[in-house]
Amino acid sequence: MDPLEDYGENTGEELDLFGEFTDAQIKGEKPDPEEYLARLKDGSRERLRTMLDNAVWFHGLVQGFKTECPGKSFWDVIGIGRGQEAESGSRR
Amino acid sequence: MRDREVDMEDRELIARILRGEEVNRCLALLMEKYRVLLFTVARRMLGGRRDAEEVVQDTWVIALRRLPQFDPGLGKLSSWLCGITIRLCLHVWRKRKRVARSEAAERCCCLDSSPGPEERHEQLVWHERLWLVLSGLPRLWQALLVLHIQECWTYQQLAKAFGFSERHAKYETNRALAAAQHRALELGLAGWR
Repeated sequence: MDPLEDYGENTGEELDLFGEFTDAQIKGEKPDPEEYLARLKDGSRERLRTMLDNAVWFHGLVQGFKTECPGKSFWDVIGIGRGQEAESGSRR
Repeated sequence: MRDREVDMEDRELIARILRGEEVNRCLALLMEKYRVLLFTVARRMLGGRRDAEEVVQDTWVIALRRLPQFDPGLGKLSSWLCGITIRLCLHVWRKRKRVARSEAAERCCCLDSSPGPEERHEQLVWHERLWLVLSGLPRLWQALLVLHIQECWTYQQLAKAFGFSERHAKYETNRALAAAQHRALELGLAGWR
């Protein structure tokens, strides 16, 4: 198998539903995780549930950040005033 | 597969550059091949055309210097180049921020619209906690999370920018989210919103 096509424990179907879900989030919709979970077989459902829970959690952080810190960007958070580690690090 | 052909072609060009064979021609071919990709990434992150062009130029200067360290077994050339571009863009962001801070200080700190001490404290708390969560992630994952969730890039755009398939972009984004959640749990910040 091509290593680039190896998705560990995830199936392509799980990843596609996850992608569809987060795409809906960034469009400002409020996707219902249960609707996405219902489209999968039992075996995959729990894995997708964890994936969607993580997406919901992080999306909540972003929304909170935008509300509390208007005009600020995540780029500020990960890049500003934190020394030179970002430049000195290699790609890995 | 098309990806493999691209990889082989890149490897051949890199090998020739490292051997000192037709360096200018091989480099020009690589630059032309990835010109649009790198410019798109830089322009998206920086906004301005001039800054983006400078970053792309710097990307090649750094790439050429570090070319002997590039290991094709660990990733595509396009991803490696994008990584350099993104780090350079972050560096530009830092510089812009420093200038903005300095200008703000000069304008005086008592403007009515500026946040009060409590608001300011709340913002710092958010900033610090987010940094704690994100700082432990590899740059690729940080970039994916910010580009997808804040900048609203689609997986198609991410895939194109980083040189992998759309499904791989979803896979890496999912891993990034899982790692962020794991880190928040470790730091006792998981319940924080």
